[in-house]
This record gives sequence, C-alpha cells and structure tokens, in this order.
Amino acid sequence: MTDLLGFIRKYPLDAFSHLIILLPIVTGFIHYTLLQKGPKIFIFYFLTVFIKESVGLYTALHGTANLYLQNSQSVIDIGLIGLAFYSSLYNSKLKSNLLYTLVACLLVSLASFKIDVISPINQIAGKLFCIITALFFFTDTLRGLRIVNLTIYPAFWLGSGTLLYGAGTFLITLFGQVLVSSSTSEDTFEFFWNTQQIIYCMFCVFATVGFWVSCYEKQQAAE
Amino acid sequence: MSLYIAVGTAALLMMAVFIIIFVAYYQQKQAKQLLALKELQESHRRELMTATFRGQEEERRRLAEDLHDGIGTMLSVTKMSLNQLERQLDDDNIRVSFQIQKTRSMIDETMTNVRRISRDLVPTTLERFGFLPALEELADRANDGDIQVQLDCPETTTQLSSPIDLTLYRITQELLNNAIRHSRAKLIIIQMQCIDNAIRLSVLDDGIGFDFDAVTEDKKGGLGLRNIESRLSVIDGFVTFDVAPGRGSQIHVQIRLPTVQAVSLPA
Repeated sequence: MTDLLGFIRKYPLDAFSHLIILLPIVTGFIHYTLLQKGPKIFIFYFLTVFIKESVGLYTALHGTANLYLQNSQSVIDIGLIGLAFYSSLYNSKLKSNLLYTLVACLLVSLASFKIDVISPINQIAGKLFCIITALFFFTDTLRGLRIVNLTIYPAFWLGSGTLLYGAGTFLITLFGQVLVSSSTSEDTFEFFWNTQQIIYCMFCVFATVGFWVSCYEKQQAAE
Repeated sequence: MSLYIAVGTAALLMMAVFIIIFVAYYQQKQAKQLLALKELQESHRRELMTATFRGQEEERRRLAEDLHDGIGTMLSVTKMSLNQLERQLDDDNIRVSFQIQKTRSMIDETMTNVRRISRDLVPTTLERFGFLPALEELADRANDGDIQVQLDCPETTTQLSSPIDLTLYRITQELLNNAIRHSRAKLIIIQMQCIDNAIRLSVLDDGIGFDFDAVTEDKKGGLGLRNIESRLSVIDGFVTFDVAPGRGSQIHVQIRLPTVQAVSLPA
C-alpha cells in the first residue's frame, strides 16, 4: 500500500492515466444496451488495457519485469480495435482491406514480440494499425452518408480518439529506442513518456464522449 | 533529435486534428446537401402528384361537360322528336304508342344516368355550396332501403381551401363506395371533427371488414386506398385504418390546416 501511494506521489500522471481508463469502461457499461457491436468491443478493449495496466503496476511495485506487458499493448490494439472497427464498417471493400491490414499487422506484431526487452517493431505495428484503421473508418463514413449528425455518432468519437492516439504516439514509438537509450536525459524521456500518457488520456476522454452520446443517437433514431 | 521527435509528434497530432475536423465538416456538409436533395425530390413528387390530380379533375370536368352538353342534349332532342312522332301517330295504333312510351322511359332513364355520372364526375354542389352540403348530398344519394348513411358533422366547421375540400370529398366518395360495394355494410357513419388546427374525417361502417395488409400487398387491388394515401401526401394529411376481417371498419383521415376560420353551416 505504501509502495502504491509512493508511486502515485512520484508519478501522478501515470496514476491518473491508469485510472482514467475506468471512465470509458464505466460510461460504456452504463450505455451498453444503446451501443452497437463496434463500440461494445471498445469497452472490452479498455477493460483489457486496464487489467494489463493493473498487472503492470503490480509487477512494477514488486520489482518483477513487465516489458512483455508493454509489448502486449500493440497486440491488444490491433486485435480489439481492429475487430471493433471491422464491425463498424459498412463498405465491404474497406472491410476486407481492414482485415488484410489487421492480419498483416498482427503477424508482424506477434513475430517481433519480445518478453524481456521493448520491441519497437511490435509497437510501431500497433500504432500504424491504429492510424490506418481510423482512416478506413473515416473513408467509410464519408462514402456511406448514413449518419445525419456525426457528433452524436459513437464510432466517430472512437475513430477520432484512435487517430489521435495512433498519430500522437507514432513518432515517440518509432524513436523509442533513442528515447530510452542512456544518452537521453531523464527529463527528455519523461517529457515524451508523459506526452504519451496525456495522449492516451485524450483517447479515453474521446471514447467516453463516444459512449455518452449513444443516448442522443438513440433519441435521434427514435425521432 | 528529441526536438525533431517533438515537432514531428506535434505535426502528426495537428494533422490528425485537421483530419477529424475535415471529416466532421465535410460529412455535415454532405448530409445537409443530401437532406436538401431529398426535400427537393419530395417537393417535386408533391408537385407531380398535384399536377396528376389536377389533370384528373380537368379530365373529369371535360368528360362531364361532354356527357351533359353532348349526350344529354342529344337525348333531350331524341325525346322531343319521339314526342313529335307520337303526336303524328293515329290514336288506333296502340302497339306503336306503347313502344314509344317504352322508348321514352328508356331515354329518361339514360338521361338520369347521364346526369348522375356527370354529377359524380364533377361535384357541382361542392363548388357552389361547399364541403358540408356536398357531403350531405353524397350521404343522401347513398341512402337507400338497404343501406343507411348518417352524417355526423358539427354545426360550424372551418373554412377549407378548395384543394382540401376536393381531396376530402374524393376520399369520402372512395370510402363510401368501398363500404357500399365491398363491406356489405348496413350502416355507414361519416363523421367530421375539427381538432385544433386540423380537420378529421372518419368513415365508420358495420360491414365485414377487410385484411388491410392483404389488400395493400396486392398490386392489382387496393388502388383506392393507395390513391387516398397519395392524395393526402400532397396536402399534409394522413390516414389511419382501423380495420380487420369480420368486423366493422373505421377509417380516419386527418389534415393539418394552415389557418382556421370558423364558418356556419348553411341552413
């Protein structure tokens, strides 16, 4: 318990970014019945990430290596985010393209997966997949013209959050090896690490808004 | 190096934000355009329907005029000529006189039929005296020994525009015909009510009813019902069918009125 309080005091932003994952989970479950299949998968994505982060925190506090958990993030991103957007797409061509991208990225991610060290290729595959998936989703949205008001469409907020998360953390992940090298100062590392955390918090907020607006989407559908 | 990463990250983030804003803006613009297009199509469809119904009415009027002025006049002349022929005949020729009387009564019957068809084609009472007297006439004409038609209307009613008058009259005509022809009804009630800014017309009967889904699914049948819906779509109205096989039918037509002015029913 003292260790945990010490961690919160030392890394408040990390603790906050860990706890904020609960926000989309709770909002998602509150509006669960109003959500379509894609956004529902997103709730399970955040739940998985929260469990992974909690296990990561537990192992970190007990001094056990947990870099494999860091690497597993990309597998979760590709698998669950991919599945969520696959369910949200309407265009069959875009759907098959997404499926090919998902398989390719997942294979790369699994092939480059390492247990004891951070695997940059594995993580880059995850971020790249997030960007591509969000762009596929936006293309589908603009092509289909099924949505009357985009701001109350849950998948739009989830897509926006995914794009921000993918694009915002892509370069940091790409040059991750440089940032963790001994030549980089601790302040620089912390700056980029915190940037990543803030971007993930933004992703969580966007997802929460997405789940929240589902009730307005239902109202509009009823009208 | 870290500066490049920071600038690159900021640039990528800005690009992502730009994409999101662009998607939201462009989609909203497309949705508005689509909505405008749909409204345009709907208004075009309404205009087409209005033109079709106007054409129908004009054609009916032409037919009624031809019937009245052409065939009606010819029948009158034939009758006069028959009367002259009868006067020229000898009093002894009883067989021929009987034949002439028979022909004259046939001509009279044909003239009555021509007048009836002509009146059905163009509701002159509606044009001259308004909707309620036209309804009264319609109910009177439908009343016979087997079928009783009752009119339940308020003392005062709203002043309706002539397209609404005509639409309501045609719909009542269609519903009344259906009740007489198909439902084997003994009692038909035509009700009219004014509700806020709307007018509600109901035709109730105690007949055998019908299966609404079966009638509307049948492309060859149900033309009258579809016609009612089409007529109402032009003047911001709707129809509700409370019908089922084996029981009396209740069909309600409601039309929203732009302005309401109360007028008294002529005595």
